[in-house]
Amino acid sequence: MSDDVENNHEQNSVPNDQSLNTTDDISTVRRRNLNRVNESSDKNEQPQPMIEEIDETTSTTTTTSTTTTNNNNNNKNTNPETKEQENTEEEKESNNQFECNICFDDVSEPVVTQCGHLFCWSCIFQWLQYNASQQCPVCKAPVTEEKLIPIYGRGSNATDPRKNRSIPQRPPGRPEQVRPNQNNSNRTYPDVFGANQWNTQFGNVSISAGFGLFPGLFGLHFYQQNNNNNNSINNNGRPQNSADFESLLLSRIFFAIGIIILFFILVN
Amino acid sequence: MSKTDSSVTKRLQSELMALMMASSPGISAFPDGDNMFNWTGTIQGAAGTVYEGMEFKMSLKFPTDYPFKPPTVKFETSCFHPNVDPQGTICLDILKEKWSPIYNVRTLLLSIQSLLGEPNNDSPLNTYAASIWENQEEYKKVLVKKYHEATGITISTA
Repeated sequence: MSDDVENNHEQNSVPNDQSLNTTDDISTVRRRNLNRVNESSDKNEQPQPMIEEIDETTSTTTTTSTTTTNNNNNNKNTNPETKEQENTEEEKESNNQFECNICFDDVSEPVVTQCGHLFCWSCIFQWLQYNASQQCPVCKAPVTEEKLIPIYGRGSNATDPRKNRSIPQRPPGRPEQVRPNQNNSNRTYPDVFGANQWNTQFGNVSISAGFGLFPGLFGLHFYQQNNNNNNSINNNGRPQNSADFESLLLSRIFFAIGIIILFFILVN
Repeated sequence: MSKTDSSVTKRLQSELMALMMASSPGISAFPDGDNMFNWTGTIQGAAGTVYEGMEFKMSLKFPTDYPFKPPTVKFETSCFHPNVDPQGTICLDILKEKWSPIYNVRTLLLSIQSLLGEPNNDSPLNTYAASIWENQEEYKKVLVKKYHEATGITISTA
């Protein structure tokens, strides 16, 4: 058994010692991260601050010199010094600036999170399906599909389009703000109730901003219709009734305010 | 299915490349034969810890939805440690609920390596190991004995 172990180790450690090639990069950095991350995770703490810290340093270093990493080997598992870390990160950056954080390959259909981490659309989409807490894999910041920003390079169509049919289209750029509604429908259904409410509320607000007095009535109208639809879909009457009631109340209040304003205008 | 399989294989290959190219003191890993989904690794106890001079064989099994799900990592060489049970199962948050696809074989093995020297004694799988951890001399004595039983290798307790 022990022989086995020895052999195995030698096999793999030999190239390790020799190689300080350009690709020292990611893994060294990750190791460092993890070393530190792990220290904290042992104590049941969140590993994220460490990673975040590293990321910050990576993003600040853009230029590189390839010869700087040679002393990395010596410091094995003892506390890595920040300078050294920066060196390895610089190298990492130079080689892997546009690799997806999930598949470790060049990004296809790149999207970036609000926290600035780059992923393939299909990769981050799948991760969000698996990860109940909807966190960025790199820094654990909250990530939602709507807030992902697609990146369009010049001639970017050359890269492989949607490989997997079960993965919906990449969300559109921010200015459009329209939700992707083609393939997504099955995914959004579970929270249809919430989504509808938001939409109508949204509509309500925008109308009332535009037209003044009528909106309350119109908003109410739409709202009730939607709620009725919902009622027929899922027999969950209660919250909708209370929502109905609220909207009714709100519209009455608006109506009253409108009348008062109108009254003042007339009086003046 | 085969498509996802090939993307998993691709990622595992890139991990293997990185592992071979870069220096990773005290750890190593390699696929078992042609099967990229099963790897065997080794971890050496870090210098300055009671595990110094010991080497542990690990098995890593990757699910078909890797890296969205963590690999199953186990000690193949029996390891006396507060967070390792007799079957070699490891209690480590990043192998479970804290898993993130940015981790890889290398970072996992290094995490486990540092777990050896810094156990989480609050949630032990091996309560005996956890209870004597504070007394490092006694711990080392037991550890060396258990390691000898597992591997036949004798390590001085000095």
